[in-house]
Amino acid sequence: MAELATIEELIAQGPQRVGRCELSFIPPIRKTWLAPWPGEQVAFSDAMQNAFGLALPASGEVLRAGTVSVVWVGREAAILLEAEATPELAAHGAVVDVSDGWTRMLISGEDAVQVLARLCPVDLRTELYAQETALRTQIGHLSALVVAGRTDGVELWVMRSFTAHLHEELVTAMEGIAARAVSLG
Amino acid sequence: MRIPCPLCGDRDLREFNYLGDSTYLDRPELGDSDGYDAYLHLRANPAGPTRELWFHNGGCGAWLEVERNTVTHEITGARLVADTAEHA
Repeated sequence: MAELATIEELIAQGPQRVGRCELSFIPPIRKTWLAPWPGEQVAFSDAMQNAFGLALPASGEVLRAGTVSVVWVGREAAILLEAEATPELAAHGAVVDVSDGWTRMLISGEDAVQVLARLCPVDLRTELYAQETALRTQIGHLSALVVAGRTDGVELWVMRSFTAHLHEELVTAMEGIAARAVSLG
Repeated sequence: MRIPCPLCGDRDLREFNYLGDSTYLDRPELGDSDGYDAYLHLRANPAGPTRELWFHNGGCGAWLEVERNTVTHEITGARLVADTAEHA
């Protein structure tokens, strides 16, 4: 049996501060993958309205109601955060607990966008996002979900097995940006 | 080069994988040997507008039918393959 990488040690290190940038883990919460059956998007969305007061998000949307939120993650798919899915939802689509499947990080500070510009093909400058926006893209060569438009930084999601690699990629980029700032004065 | 994904907006080429001509969407009837020969092997090689299949692998995971000009590399449109009735 292969020895599986553990990310607990990485999380225990606490936030990484390099230059004018900080990288931290967002504490894990319940995550549920939602994918309506073909032709049942409206019924699924109605069931979500009944249960949480939230619609099924359209492309790029991040919707919140109280502590519950739902994030677009791809074509006709979303992830529900915090709340437990209801049986009514499962009647209209696939509902899968993926709480352990994804990890979330927050990169913040003055240089966060510069750091991400080294790794991500999407323009993540703060002024471009008036509200929270979910973007499926790549960080380095890792498939990721980016939530731009937060006031406190940029949120990054990757599948759990990519966690250590994403962390290393980001810290390396943070060191590069910090070194550049020093050398340029 | 950027491709306007209908779900994600304009995205960089590196997020996409190329499959080939959109002929692949029109599979012949089973038993149509000549049709399958053409489907698998025969391709036009136009200098100008073409329709081809791209996979948004590094993004939303959708298959797109992209209109691209092979002379200028201009991308003039992209739509979700899933949205076309015959392939739904």
